[in-house]
Amino acid sequence: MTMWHPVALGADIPAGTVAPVRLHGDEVVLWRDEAGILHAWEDRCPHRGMRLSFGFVRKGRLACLYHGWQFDGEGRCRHIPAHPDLSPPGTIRARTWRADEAHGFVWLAHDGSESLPAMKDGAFTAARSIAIESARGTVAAALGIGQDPVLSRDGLICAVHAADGETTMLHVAVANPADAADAALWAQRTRDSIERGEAVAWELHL
Amino acid sequence: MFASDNDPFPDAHSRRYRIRGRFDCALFAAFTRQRAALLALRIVSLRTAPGLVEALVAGEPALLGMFEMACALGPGNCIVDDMTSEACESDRCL
Ligand code: FES
Repeated sequence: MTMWHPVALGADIPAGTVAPVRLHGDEVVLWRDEAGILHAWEDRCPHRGMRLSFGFVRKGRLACLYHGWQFDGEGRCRHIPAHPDLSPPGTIRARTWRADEAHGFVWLAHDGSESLPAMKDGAFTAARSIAIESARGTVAAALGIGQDPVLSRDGLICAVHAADGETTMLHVAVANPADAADAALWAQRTRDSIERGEAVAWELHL
Repeated sequence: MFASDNDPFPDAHSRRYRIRGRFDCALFAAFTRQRAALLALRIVSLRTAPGLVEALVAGEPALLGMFEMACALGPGNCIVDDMTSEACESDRCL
């Protein structure tokens, strides 16, 4: 069975930008090309291991910051600046993850062939992603989210994923765009409550 | 240069690398195989002895240069003290 994990807010990766995320300790680079297509790869350049998340997007390719090797949307190396006449072999490629978007979140899957399950209709506006210094189990229990990746409640939609064993990312989106600023503050209060071991208050507007 | 009727790299150049240093030979040999695969190079022969890895590698010259640079640095926990590289233009290298 394909496991899909919500790892970021899609709005945090505008076209032409790059962002790192961690999922269960794996380091992944998310980047969106100029056409708006999202890509997710292992955050490690096949050349010398530089983080690709330090790189930049140029004409549909991700260029590594270190020596400038360029990788196309499929992860294949297409240009090596030190050898401009060389056609890089197809063996030089970044390791790709499967990526999709729904409910305003970016979802990743490492393996498996199943698509991201269809979700309830509705447009959601991204509010805030925030790191909580607690294990996923603690955060999930505090939010009542269980093993599900997302929880929809009172116009809020919350998603959590384990960055590693000690840090959990909480991503918050809202059904009503007018609630986005309050939801961002709610995410901060929720982080503070969970880190202090206090109950989560669900009131959005204080 | 290596060439035969069924050589998949008929235009390949080849170089012999001798790498001496303080490392686990098996680990270093695995690294050379991985790097060669990444760069679409062919390892014609690979020999190890304590503190020594010797590889005869064929492929595109620019990619051989990248392979050489990678081996000069080596994987983590491996220290390369000395490395030689020589072109092999005939069967005497085999
Ligand atoms: S480490 Fe990325 S191009 Fe060299």
